[in-house]
Amino acid sequence: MDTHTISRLVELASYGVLLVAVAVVAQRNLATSIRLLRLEGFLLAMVSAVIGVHTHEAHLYWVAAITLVVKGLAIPSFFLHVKQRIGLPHDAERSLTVPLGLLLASGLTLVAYHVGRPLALASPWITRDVLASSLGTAFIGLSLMIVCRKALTQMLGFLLMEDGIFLFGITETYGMPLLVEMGIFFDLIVAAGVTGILLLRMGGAFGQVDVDGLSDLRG
Amino acid sequence: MLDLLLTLGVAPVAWALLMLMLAPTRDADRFGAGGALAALVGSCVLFNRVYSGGAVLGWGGNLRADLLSAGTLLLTSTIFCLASVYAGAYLEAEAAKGHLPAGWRLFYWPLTFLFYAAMVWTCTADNLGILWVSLELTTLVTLPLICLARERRGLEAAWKYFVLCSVGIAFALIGTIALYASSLRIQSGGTGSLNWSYLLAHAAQLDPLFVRLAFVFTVVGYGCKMGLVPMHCWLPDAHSEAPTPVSALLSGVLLNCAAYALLRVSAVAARSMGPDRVEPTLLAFGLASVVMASFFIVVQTDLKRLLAYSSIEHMGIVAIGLGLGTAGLYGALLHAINHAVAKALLFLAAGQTVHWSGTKQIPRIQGVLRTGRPTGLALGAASLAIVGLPPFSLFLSEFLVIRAAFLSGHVLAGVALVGALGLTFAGFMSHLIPVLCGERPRGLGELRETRGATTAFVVLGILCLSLGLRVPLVLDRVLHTCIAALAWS
Repeated sequence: MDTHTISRLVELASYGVLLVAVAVVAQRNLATSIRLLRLEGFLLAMVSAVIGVHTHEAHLYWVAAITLVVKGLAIPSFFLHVKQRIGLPHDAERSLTVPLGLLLASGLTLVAYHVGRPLALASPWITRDVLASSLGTAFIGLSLMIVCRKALTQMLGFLLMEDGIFLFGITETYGMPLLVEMGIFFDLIVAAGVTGILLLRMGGAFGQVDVDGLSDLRG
Repeated sequence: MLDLLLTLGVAPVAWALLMLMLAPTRDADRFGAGGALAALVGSCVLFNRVYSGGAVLGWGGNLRADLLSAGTLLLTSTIFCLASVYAGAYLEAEAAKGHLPAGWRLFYWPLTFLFYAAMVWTCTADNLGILWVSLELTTLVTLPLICLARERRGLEAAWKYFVLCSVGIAFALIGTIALYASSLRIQSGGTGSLNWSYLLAHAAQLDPLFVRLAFVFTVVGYGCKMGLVPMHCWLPDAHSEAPTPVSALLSGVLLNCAAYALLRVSAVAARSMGPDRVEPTLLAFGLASVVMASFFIVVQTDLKRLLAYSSIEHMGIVAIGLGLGTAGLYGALLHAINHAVAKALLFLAAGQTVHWSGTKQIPRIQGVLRTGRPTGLALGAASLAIVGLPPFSLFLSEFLVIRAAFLSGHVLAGVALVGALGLTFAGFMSHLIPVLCGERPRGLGELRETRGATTAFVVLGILCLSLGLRVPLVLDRVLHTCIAALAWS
């Protein structure tokens, strides 16, 4: 593959990642959102592999494989399982209406473009155009965590944020040192496990996984 | 030769596994305290080696301990050891009252050792990526500890803690990646490194745009973990709902570890961009924290939440000290040490008090001093210490930070700080004087603390007092060496 193709591929995948983030905001079906995250995992794995081709670094192939397994398969399946165990109704209500959510998402993307622009302009790297969409994805995930009042949706936001940061890291550094990369995956797996258990227990203790019910602690 | 740093990091993990096997028996408490003591001895050995022979490296250069790391680790281990000595009998008594599930040992001991291990990795990492991974692990490991009581409030606190700290720490990850990116873009063919020692040495060559991005994201990220306003909302919940020994660790040492991480990145940023671009940000976050916390302290009615807000206030003072640059670093580092000691003592004493009176509501706790027990004395002394009265140690460090503010020309910041400290003093005393000296309510049993609790009180009390009379010569030398190594300006 020549440099141009690689650059196009990575860029295309990064738009896909951003689009998935917007899609998660735009629709209310939790199961679909989790499946969309699976798609995002595949895209990220592809990005790492393609950049691996570009830099001829074997460790990026490892990162791609682990991304495929962890982000593409294991974590989405785990949360689908958790969702079924809690037995949430199919449509997860959000405290945010869809139009408002989309407005927020586009605003955050603009912010990301604004932050990323000087960096992208100064960069000679072929993946420089990805910066804005990666930060945009991370910001959208973050806003889901803060604005939404449903624990499982907040978890979705967390995973989106992780994906955005992963994309940022892989395209701005061509892969962190492998040790650090492993550590980040380890943290992600532990986080998914611990919060999954927490979600199940919250489902048991409150009969609902709704952060609005969590309002004893104030002041 | 034995890799000392790796051993210090791996041993607690192994010990956690051992505790998992021992957990069902009562011996677990003794093994827990013993393991913590061994960890303290290990930290002393490391500190001694660094103090006499300079920085120690480990694990192929991924770990590095200079005096700042070794000192932070020594402080962490001291508090961890005392909290572990305190924990066994205290938690057993709590479980007897039905506040904890009977099988608490199965969770508490393995998880605290993992928590401690993560803090060891945080303090001794040279690689900022490993530092980030460990600091994120501290959040994940403490989640189950916070909701150990299996009450609704504990779950709520844990979830809030997870959501806000993950957002914060994700920011720090973006910052860490940006730092790595900045090192990759070194003009003369940088190979890229995340080691703070490398970044500090090559600070002038780092890509300035990326360093600025890194600093902004890291301040928000590690500042969140440190409880700086406005990222603090999780802290009062998490610190007050956790079981007391965990509260003492969270407030006493985990906040310091976060501050340590922030300090490492700030030093690189200050060296790279110039202190003028770093200091105002830290100063602003610090002032916001001190002022906000002082108002919340005045209106607080829950004893443990009061202490949590006080932690926000003191972390604010540390941030102000860092924000004053070379003038304030000495005071900031000293304050971090003093706060850790005093706050651990205060939390441990408050835990006994709450256990005795059966409530955390301040208006319903009275006359702890009149019980004539060590708990009353410890609570009284720690309260005086935490509001910064002489002869306790925090007076000295707060004074140093205020003096630095005025001397370096930040008069407004100095005035705001003094005002907020005055408000805190008034608020704290109005809450705690009835708690200490009020009429002792009838119908409450005797306040009985265990030997472990008394030991912890005595050691922490002596530390708090001895650091306050004067800064020991050794500590003085250590602080000066640390500041020189940070190469701030």
